[in-house]
Amino acid sequence: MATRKERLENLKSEGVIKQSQWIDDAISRKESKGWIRTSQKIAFKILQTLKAKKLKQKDLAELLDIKPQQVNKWVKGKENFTLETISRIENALSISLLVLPENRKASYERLKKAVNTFSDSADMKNKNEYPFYKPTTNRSMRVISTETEKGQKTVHVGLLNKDFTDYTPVKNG
Amino acid sequence: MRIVNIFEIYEEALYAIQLNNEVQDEFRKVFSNWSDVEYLTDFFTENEALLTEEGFWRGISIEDAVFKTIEDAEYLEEYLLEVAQKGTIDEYNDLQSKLFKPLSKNDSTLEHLKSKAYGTNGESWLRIYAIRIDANCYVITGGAIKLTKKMNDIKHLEIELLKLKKSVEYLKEINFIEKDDISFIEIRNDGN
Repeated sequence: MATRKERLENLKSEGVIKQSQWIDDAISRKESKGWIRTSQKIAFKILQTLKAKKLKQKDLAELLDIKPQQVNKWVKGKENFTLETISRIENALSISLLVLPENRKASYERLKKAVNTFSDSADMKNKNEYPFYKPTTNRSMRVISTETEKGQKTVHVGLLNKDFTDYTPVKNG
Repeated sequence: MRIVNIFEIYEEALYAIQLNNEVQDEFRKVFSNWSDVEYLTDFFTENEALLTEEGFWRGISIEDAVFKTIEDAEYLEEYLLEVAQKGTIDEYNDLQSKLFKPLSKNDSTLEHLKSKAYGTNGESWLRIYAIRIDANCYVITGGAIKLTKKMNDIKHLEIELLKLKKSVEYLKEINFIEKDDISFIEIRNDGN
């Protein structure tokens, strides 16, 4: 009676047992671990956005003038995106896919400088400024400053451009 | 549903079936699916009711479910890869002690005990189903994300049961197994 080992060898030689490629896949996934998670998060964001905007993958493909199969590759979360591709997708869907963490202290200093640069307007004279900000989804910075005049506080709300070089008051609180 | 090939993952120790309508063997396929964002998003969207506060998993979002699955699968796969790359299955590295534990009797609906592969990090809903030929020889028949307690609650889990049955028939047919006293073991990696 043939042993199991012998039976398995026979099955291999007959082509009934073949070699799985799982190990190669697993090694590849392990080696790509560093960037794969980012790709997966981008994929999920694209899928969410398409659903919210009631778009199909082929609609995005048409917007970008590419084949639908390319979009399908993206949404699987296994694509090593270029920055250019990410930028094109962001513009096509009006979303942000990659946000780099900012140095908070440096951002605050730039914010103060920008606010002070435009403090010569009538609304901004004779004030003690306490500018602080919070980022908004469209990447502009909303500046809230308080002004003390004769014991009364006034809140000014404005928008900084993303380079922190221009400040636009939008309302007085 | 037909089984057309057996794929060897680890010589004489770990194998996987291939179905007639699939290009990959079942073991390769489950890990491919569990890292596929589109596949997982579709799956959890379809089964969103089971993720709600009233469901077993109590209020996990689709996004969190997708990335929990990805992370659990990564952890399990890296462990299995390490076992496979060590080069030997021996008393210190055998599949039975490292990967398998008896399944809950309450889940068994076939005459033999069914195998499941648990994921990691505590509660994991990842399942890999296998036939145990003996202490160090298993045939993977499929995998699933099990969001319910019982295996036959949802259709996709019923499909896995059917695959297990058909696999036993096929393995006997090709003389892969000779005996009837095969059983089913679950793969685990829960740190115990």
